[in-house]
Amino acid sequence: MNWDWQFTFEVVVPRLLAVVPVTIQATVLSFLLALVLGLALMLLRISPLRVISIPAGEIIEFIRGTPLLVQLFFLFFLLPEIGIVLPPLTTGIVGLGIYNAALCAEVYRAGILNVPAGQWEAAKALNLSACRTYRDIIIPQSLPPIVPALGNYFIGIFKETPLLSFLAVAELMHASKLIGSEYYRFTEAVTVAGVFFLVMSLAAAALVRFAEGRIRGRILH
Amino acid sequence: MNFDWSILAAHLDLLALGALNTFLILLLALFFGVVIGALVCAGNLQTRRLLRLPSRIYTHIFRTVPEMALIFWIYLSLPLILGTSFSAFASGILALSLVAGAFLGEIFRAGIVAMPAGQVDAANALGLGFVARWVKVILPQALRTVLPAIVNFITELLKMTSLLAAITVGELAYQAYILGSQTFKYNEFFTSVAIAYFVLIFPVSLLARRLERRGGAA
Repeated sequence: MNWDWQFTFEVVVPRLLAVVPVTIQATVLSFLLALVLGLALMLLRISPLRVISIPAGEIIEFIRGTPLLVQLFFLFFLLPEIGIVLPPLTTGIVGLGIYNAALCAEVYRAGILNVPAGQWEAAKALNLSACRTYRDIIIPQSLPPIVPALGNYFIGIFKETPLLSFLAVAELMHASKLIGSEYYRFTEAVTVAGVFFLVMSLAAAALVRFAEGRIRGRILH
Repeated sequence: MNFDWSILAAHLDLLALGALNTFLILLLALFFGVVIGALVCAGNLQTRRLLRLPSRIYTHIFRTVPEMALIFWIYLSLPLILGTSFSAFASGILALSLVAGAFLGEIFRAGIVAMPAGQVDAANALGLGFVARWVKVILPQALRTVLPAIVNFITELLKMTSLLAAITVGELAYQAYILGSQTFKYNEFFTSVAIAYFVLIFPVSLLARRLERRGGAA
């Protein structure tokens, strides 16, 4: 096998660098969607009305129990059939967002259930409104275990973005396959893409650790 | 949009083949993953830093590189580097085994590290040999601690097998994709395959939850 450095630096690296923003955009937007949607799912899940909480639990369980790839195919091929035509990137972001929302919902729920029952009772005894109970008592205490777990899902979403290449979204994996088949040099294209992912994952992990430290510092003081 | 049951019945053989392949991939990747994981874990438990290094690097790489990128790399690049070719199936198994090895290695290590140090000291004090110490004292306790984590990982691995559709391995997701694009009945195939995955995964995650609860009670 022969590795062509000139090809690597003149073709592969610039073309992959050009699509890095797409991967980052997909990761960040999916993460934000997952955070918000996850919160909504969790609120439904812990609803005192069983008519709401049981179906919500089933939905979360179903989303967690099917592969992301199948869900992406589902959205990509079936949304147009019911008249919703979205660009591939948007479909991908929605798919990643929904899948991770189910995971985030469980994380939120674990965090909230972690708050001792006495805190709820004390809030009730002090006649705090539901809004103040959540804002001032429950959420600040449930955040410390939630934040690191959410950080892991951020990295997880980044690792899942190559799946969007199935929907022909022009992200890293897709671009590297394209270069590979154009020049018939898969070794350089796919290896460089792998290195890109590795470096970006490590950077994301460092970022998450930094954010964790900041948020934890703010909660405790 | 109406649901066409007959199209599912007509292609039941391919779907069954897909499910069988998914199951086979899961078993093989799990088997090799356990072997690799045990080796990685053994490396990670060394007291000398230099001996720990290979395991640390291995775990780091295979846990951070996206599975999808690894699958493509093994399928497309590795044959060119080695000068031989593997079938898509073999490449897929190799990729998933390497990933499973990294995750399982960490799970095993967590179990062994979490064990109270007194257990090993007691085994030593009783004059147990190396084999007896591991087989009778360390492994039974460590495995009991990490069993829920292992079962949880099996559900992850089962979902991961769907990624092999990217390199044309004929597992469940790939069959649904191919049948869908041949017949344009995407709804029928994707819905049934999603349900099939759920039916496979849900009992396993229930088992994990049950084991977790039992572990918490004991």
